[in-house]
Amino acid sequence: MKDIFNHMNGLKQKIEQNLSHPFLSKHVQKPNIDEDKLLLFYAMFKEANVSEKELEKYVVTAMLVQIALDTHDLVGIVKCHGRKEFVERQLTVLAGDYFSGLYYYILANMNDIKMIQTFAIAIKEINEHKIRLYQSKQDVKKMIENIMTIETALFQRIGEHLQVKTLPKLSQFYLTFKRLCQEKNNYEVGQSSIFQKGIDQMTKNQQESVFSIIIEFCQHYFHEIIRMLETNLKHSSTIKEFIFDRIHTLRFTYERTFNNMVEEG
Amino acid sequence: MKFKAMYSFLEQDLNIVERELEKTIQSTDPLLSDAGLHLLQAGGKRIRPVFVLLSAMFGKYDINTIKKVAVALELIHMASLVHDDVIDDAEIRRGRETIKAKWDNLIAMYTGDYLFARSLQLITEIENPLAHQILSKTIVEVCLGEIEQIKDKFHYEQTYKTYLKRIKRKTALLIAASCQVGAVCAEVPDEWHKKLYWFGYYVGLSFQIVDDILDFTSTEKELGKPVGSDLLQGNITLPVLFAMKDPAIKQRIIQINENTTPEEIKPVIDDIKNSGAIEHSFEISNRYLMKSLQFIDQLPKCKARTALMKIAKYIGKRKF
Repeated sequence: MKDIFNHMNGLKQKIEQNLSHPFLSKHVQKPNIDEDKLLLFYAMFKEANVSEKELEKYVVTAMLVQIALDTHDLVGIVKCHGRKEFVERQLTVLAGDYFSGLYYYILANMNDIKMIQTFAIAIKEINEHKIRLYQSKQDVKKMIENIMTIETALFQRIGEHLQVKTLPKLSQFYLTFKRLCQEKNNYEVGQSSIFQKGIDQMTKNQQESVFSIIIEFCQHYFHEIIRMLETNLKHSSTIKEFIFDRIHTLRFTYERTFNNMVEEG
Repeated sequence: MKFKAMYSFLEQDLNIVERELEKTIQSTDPLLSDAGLHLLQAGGKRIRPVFVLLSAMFGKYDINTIKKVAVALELIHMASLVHDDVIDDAEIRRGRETIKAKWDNLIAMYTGDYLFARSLQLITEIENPLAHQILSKTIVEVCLGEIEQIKDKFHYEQTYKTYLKRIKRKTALLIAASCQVGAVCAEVPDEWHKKLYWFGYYVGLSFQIVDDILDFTSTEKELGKPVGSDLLQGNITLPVLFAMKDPAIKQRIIQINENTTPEEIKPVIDDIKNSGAIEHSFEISNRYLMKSLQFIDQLPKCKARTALMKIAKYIGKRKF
């Protein structure tokens, strides 16, 4: 377990090194490194038996793509108040572009053109689904499908490329489950997101029925995650243990939402 | 001579590129297809595809391969324009509503990211490591250049060197990469594709200087944006740097800040135009143009070389 912690920390440091830019750091909020995605990318490349040196570069580039995409979600749509906010917005756009350029640069220098293509296909898919979710004129099941693609297309495409099956499937359940918990939480605390924008256009009754469907999906995903961890994951027990650990952390983070889901399930 | 007449022999191939562009921007999402089409219909000189094709003619020219490079370079350029309009909060580009104005900032962000992904998806069909190393390095440099541009806004003490470094990253590198990547993908010998790089680099510098001049000398109709927009946004370009050599003009220029209105800036634009800074900037642009021609001169004589020379000269004299 300690070994994985060390690996994760080492990878986090590498990612931070790549993200660091003095002017950006001064004006743009520090990019969030999603530790669940970091772990799942790590586990996926590990399962594909890539060398340690390559594993590090692949995980760093996959995370750079993820962070680039997440950064662009932060660009506001309403008029800025004052120069400071405007500069922050300008640099948020450029930070996302820069991180995205870096993934191409690193992979190009590894001469891994096929992996660049794999990432590009996933990014294309993710943006198509972000636009659909953002337009939000669709039923809740379609919205959840969009969320699943947005959260996991990178894992699906990389999994196909590496011919790894279990972890992309696990990622699908796990990351969609996590995002839906976050969205339920966002709804409760009034935090905005592209998903919430669609929800906001609905009546109170519609919103409640949306969340009862979301809870059903979450119950299903949660049981699938546990089932997969217990039966399918042909991984070292430490990785399994780590994922179990993260699931429980998630449970505590979104306790109120989670309790509703699991008790009903 | 009209711009297109300089490379009329490329007409058929450029039509193929245009059709490929239309095909590539098509998405499973109708809004993304509309946004892409909206951009394509706004036109543009397609200068990057032209450079890609002409440079490839020095090697094994195959339109079915090289069109992928041409389309990818244009898509990268288009993606950066969509994001630039969010950065500049621009409502109009080439006389049409920008994506961010027609839809909103987030749609513009996703459209730009989509176009960039499509460009990489297409160009990775060409398995040439050197081409990807050149292009990826260029993209990172272009982003760093844009970050520098934000940093330098309303910074009136910057030097000619700072300006040069900025326009190198902002414009020259992508034109240089268009030439070199086009050549590399057509297996043009090393010695020649390096010369094509430097040709594109100096043409790019000259192109941007002319662009910066036109911001003062052109009309709102020709520019598709108000005259003096760069200065209003705090971009210190070459004509401004030269005009500031006159202490009285400098004193008026340094008063410009983020709260200055387009009306307030009009007398300063006249000052800059009457200071000799425009003529001086043209001289510098021509100097880079001459450098670019020195490199192209070292390449074998062919219709592509003639066309590149004509384009370079046109760029130095263009009115908009």
